[in-house]
Amino acid sequence: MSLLNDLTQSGQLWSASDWRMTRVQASPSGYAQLDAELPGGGWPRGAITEIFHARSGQGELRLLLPYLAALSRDDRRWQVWFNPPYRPHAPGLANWGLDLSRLLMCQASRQDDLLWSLERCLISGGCQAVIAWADRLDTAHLRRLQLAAESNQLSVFLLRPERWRETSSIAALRLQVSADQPDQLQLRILKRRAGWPLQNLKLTVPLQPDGADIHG
Amino acid sequence: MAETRLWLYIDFTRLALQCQFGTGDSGIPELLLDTRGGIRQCNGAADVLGVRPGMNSATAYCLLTNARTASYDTRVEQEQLQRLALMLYQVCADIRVCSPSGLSLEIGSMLRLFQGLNPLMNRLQELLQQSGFQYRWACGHTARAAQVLALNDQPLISTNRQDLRTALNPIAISRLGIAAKDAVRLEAMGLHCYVDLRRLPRAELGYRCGPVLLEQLSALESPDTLGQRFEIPPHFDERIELSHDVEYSAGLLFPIKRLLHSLEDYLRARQCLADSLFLRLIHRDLPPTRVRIQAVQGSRSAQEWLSLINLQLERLVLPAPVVTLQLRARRFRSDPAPNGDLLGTAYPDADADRLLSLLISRLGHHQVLTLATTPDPRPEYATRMMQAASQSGQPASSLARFQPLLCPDTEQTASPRDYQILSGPERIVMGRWAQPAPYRRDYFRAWHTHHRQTVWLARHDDGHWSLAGFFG
Repeated sequence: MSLLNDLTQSGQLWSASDWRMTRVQASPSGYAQLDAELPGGGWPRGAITEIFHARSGQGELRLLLPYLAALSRDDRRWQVWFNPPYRPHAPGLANWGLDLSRLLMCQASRQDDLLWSLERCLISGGCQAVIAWADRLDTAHLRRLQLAAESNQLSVFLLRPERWRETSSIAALRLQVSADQPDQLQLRILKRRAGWPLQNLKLTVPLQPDGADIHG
Repeated sequence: MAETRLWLYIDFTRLALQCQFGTGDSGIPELLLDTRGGIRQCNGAADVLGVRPGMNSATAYCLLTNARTASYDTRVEQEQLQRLALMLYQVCADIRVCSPSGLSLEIGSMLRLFQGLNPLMNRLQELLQQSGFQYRWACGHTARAAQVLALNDQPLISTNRQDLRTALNPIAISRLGIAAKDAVRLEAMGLHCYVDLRRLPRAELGYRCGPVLLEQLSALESPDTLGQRFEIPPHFDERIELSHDVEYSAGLLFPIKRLLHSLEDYLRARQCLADSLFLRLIHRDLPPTRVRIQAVQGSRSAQEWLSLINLQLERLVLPAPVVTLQLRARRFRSDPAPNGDLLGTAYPDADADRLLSLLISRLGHHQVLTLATTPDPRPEYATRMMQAASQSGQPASSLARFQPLLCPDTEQTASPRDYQILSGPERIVMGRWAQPAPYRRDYFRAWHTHHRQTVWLARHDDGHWSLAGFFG
């Protein structure tokens, strides 16, 4: 019985009847509607989150920015972005409240460089969160990343092309993002811990954060 | 003050030989030849077979079946002597370099710090054994006396001045370091060892043998210094001639480690940290390969530097075999005071800095960047990306604008028919002074009805449209 208790306590085991009570380490995403559906009430900490999107400009980054901005302001360590598909635009990112001095933009063209760097970020203790645009990733390596993320309770976000949606993955949370309207996203939760897949979650994600002034 | 002075002389017996062949014992006879073809130094294996320094090389070859030889190089020997002085500088402040192979240390003033002679000598012994160089030493009440005792294999370690004085007595006249001509004359007078000489009235001796001898003798008894005072050089610059060509970068790690240990000694002696190192891999014919290694908040530890160098060497393909390694450090920073962390040894940002150093070493300087906003209103120039290592001081406050999150680096033309305009136009104009050309564009936030992307479109002055960014 105690093993069952332990597993339930640590969120490794959940029962269908009271799945919302399962404890998963998570941080609020900044979108209440989304938090209600995510185990633990936000982006998982100490785990990999995969976000699939067809092309840039569909809200895949805006979905993460409230959380990343809060993190960058509270934590003195680096927030490392790997291989952004286009040049990050500093005024736009600052508009979301990101502390730019905590951001590190890395280009790792070779896959082994990327994986090595990701792992190093997760185990070095000098990093608050990792965001990587990644195409093909080796499953064995993903597992290593997952373990590294778990050991330091860090969030890893992998932004990946839609075609990798069907392959199996160790990630704790897998989301597919598409846009209905400029500020209306449609999410599909492909996988979540302590919960079932979910179709058609509508989410309002504005083009700029609520508090920011409209001038610009 | 003069009463408490005590000198230690360390003579490195096989310094030049060990510089050439390394400090390990190979078991193969090793010979160091001087310019006239004589044996200058030889190792233990050669000594057993009867080779002696000063012997003709032809004679030596008759005694040996196989041997490794090298020619004597003063520069290499002197560099190594400086390195040893630097190492001993951790223990003793007043070191004098006595070419070609001796160091004279004033240890009397260090006794209080080390609480006695024995702890000090143990520490010195530890350091010397680590270096691997063969040595002999002796204390003396004057620098010259210590030198004479050491060179005569009298390893007297004592603070008792009477003992130190009497230890000189049995030394043969010819071994006192006086001119050979004088030694022969004194021998002819029936004087054999120093005690005989000491008994004679000095004035008479000066009358017979001249003032030079008197000066040399008085140096044995009265305080004086030897050689050049050792001072820490302002930059670190050392090289290693590799004993064989290295074709793969992995093979360089071991010799680099030696350089790094020497760097660590240097930095410890100067009480500072190095923040970047320059490694030159010198090839026989091609121009040298240069590697720059950066540690963000500076580092001293050889181990840390080695791991950073390793990361860079892993990716390095050597264009040609390496014959010589050179390591330089020119920029130093002071040892950070322990700020904020009273209990631990780390300062708060240590992990973040270490991570940055690692990423730079693996990915390269140009691949690890930080962002900042600029006051320039043109979107192309509004982001400044800087090498993360060069970042310094407090970041300036950021200028926030309601603009996209990602911008394409190259201009992509767009057709406005595919888009539904959400807001705009928003005009950005720079005057005629703007380089390279006057700038006037209208920007629109737009929605690609087919691709379902939210983008930023720019209408140029000549009427064509381009894609200026993505609201990712």
